[in-house]
Amino acid sequence: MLDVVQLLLDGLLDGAGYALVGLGLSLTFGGLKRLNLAYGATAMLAAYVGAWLHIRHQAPAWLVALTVVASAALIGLYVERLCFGLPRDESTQPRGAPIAGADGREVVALASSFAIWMQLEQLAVNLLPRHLNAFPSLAAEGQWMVAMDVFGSVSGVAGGELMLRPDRLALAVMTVLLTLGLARWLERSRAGLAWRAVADHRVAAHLVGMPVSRLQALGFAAACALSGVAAFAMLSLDAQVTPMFGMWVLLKGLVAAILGGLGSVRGVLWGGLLLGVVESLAQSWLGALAREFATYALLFIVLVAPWRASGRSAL
Amino acid sequence: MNSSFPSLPSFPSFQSARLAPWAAGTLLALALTLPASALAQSSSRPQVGLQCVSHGSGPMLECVVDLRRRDGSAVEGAQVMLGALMPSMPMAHTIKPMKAAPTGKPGEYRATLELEMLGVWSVEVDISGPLRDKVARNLLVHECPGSERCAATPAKAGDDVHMGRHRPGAHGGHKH
Amino acid sequence: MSASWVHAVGLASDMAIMSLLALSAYLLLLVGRVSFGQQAFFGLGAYASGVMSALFAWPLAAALALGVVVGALCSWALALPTMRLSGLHYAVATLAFGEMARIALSALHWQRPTEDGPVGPAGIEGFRDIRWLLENDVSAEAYLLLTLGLLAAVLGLLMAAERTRLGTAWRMTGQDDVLTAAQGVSVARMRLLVAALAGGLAALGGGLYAHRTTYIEPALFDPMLGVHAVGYALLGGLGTALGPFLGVVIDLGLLDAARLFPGWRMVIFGGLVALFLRWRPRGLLDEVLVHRLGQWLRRQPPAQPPNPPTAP
Repeated sequence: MLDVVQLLLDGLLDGAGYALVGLGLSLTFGGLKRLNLAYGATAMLAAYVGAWLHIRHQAPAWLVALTVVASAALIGLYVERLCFGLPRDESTQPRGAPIAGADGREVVALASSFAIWMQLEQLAVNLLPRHLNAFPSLAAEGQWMVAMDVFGSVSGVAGGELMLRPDRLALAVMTVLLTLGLARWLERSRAGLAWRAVADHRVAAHLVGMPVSRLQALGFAAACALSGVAAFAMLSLDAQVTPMFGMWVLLKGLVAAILGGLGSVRGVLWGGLLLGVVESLAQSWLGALAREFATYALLFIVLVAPWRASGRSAL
Repeated sequence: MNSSFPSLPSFPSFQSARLAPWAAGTLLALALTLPASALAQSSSRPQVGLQCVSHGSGPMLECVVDLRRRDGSAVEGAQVMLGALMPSMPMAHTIKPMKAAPTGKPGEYRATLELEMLGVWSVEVDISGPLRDKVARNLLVHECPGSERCAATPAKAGDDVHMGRHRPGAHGGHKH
Repeated sequence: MSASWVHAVGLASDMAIMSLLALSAYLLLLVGRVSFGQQAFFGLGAYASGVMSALFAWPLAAALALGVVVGALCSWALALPTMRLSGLHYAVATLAFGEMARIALSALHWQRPTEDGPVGPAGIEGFRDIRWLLENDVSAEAYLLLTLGLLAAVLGLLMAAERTRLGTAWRMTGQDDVLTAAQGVSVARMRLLVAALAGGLAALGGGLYAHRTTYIEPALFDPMLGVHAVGYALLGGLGTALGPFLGVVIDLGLLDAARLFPGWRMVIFGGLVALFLRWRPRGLLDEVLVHRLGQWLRRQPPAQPPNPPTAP
């Protein structure tokens, strides 16, 4: 019984990390209705810039954190101008887009974002060619052992101890606060209102005088800055960064975002937690490979589920 | 909805004239590869030893191949070609293959490959001459500072995986 | 036999094999779907052909054919639930499937003992000693001829198919599926058919690759491979089957082998694809250019007004 609780706890903590990673991705989709496949590579390149500062210039952790977030925002700006700055109306659509159909332009933007994904990955690896690169470490030294005797005496189950790393708990708490705070900000503040207005109906927003293009660029950059926050948080717990980080961020973030419903900020939290728990359970039942498999299987099932109301093409 | 598959109409003559050479070429090429003799499964495979060290930036990978027959005798006079590819991106990072020259010791051949990146490489040893074989070994190429030489270690399967988050310590609560 | 010749032969083989994978992505692009999972069928074909030729001593042609069948079947099976998804969700679903296939291959253990040790897929360690070409003394050059012959046959078939009703129908599906359905073509069945074809092509490429390198491992079939395949199709052009081939030549030939911009290959290639998608979305060899080239090749005079019918 205690093992299961430990599993769940670990899964939830992992899941909070995935939710943090998926937050920016969900936001860009919510705002632009387009999936940014360069998201993982953005986070990775920003992390590599931070790692470079740390390795070559022994920068302190706070400076690295700022650099990572700022770099992520700048890179996001570049991605947005190149791939997603495409106007969404018919009249300026280039002749003969590769993908036609209701979401043709969204898929075109997706396609060009994967091209930028390749670019950013190569740039990162050119910057730091090694496989393992040091990253400033904020990891905790030891673990907390939480005694579960109270739990045991209440439910009659044998007590014991749960292992809990305080740094991962801090990350989870930060994620929850950030997510809920962001959701509330989007709902209550004027800036959040502007963002939602632009996402909802671009032409109407333009008609009431909002600088739509600038708002979109700002929002995109802010979402990518969030990816930088996530990257710094995750990597500081690990104290190293590898070239595989970009793909990891993209895939985990994508699964968390889609599980919770693309575009929903609170949804990403639930999606990430669900993913973490499923992975944890899969690993304990069937091993490490099953853990990876469960991630993608979950994503696949959610996508092709027959009861999905949205996401169907006309035919 | 009447949805029978559209059937292929008979080709106009100029189209079949263009197709014919391709079809013939394919058939000819296929014929080359159907085995004329029975499958030979003798254990005439040489035993291949591979030791590589990396040095410099690039990095350069200097490999020594040791060829022996089953009975332990050295294989001399073989044509050994060394190549490498990166398992994570198989058809990119093309490395110019290098002919391995005999070092003087019987059965030993050496060549230096110019790699593009650090990390896991699949080094291919292509042997022709008295015996024909092809062996691939995965090696983790490390960075070597200055003018030192560092051995490239055999890469295990997990060396290149995605950032594995399931560190054993985090789940130390299992009491198996 | 000099090292440069071996290098050239290897490069040409790689380009031919990669073209098959790019063609598979191209076919799906023609029916209006971006697929990031074609590397899964490449891997499945590689493993299936390798298993047949290494464990069961099948001849190469039969092993490749089985790989093609496996790839086509799996692709068709994947297309059944996913084709009705919107383009965005389809792309993510194929990405997920690609990873699922890779992980499944990492768990595949199927070995047979032989005199030289066990042979067969060994899970995450990969599948070594696919030695059909070595045991049957097929030189690298002969194998290159075979690969090129197969590629030429595939290209010829696809280009010929473009002129038939079938080829026109699948192009129409990509341009406007509502209009296509109004013409009486079943869009769903067309997409399934093309998916099966695409899977078979990718599997053919995979089988050829497995025999060429004699060693495959699941890590080879990661999403970057599939992403590159789509990139080649988009860059080279969607107007003709030669388009993906051109894309492969540009990347593997110019950028990589000729070392035009060493260390910046993916930066250039990615930038090219993104720029093309913005200003020339159908790629280099788009339909307009292909049409003009076709006219020039046939030296057709400008269209004449029809002659008045002569009275009988």
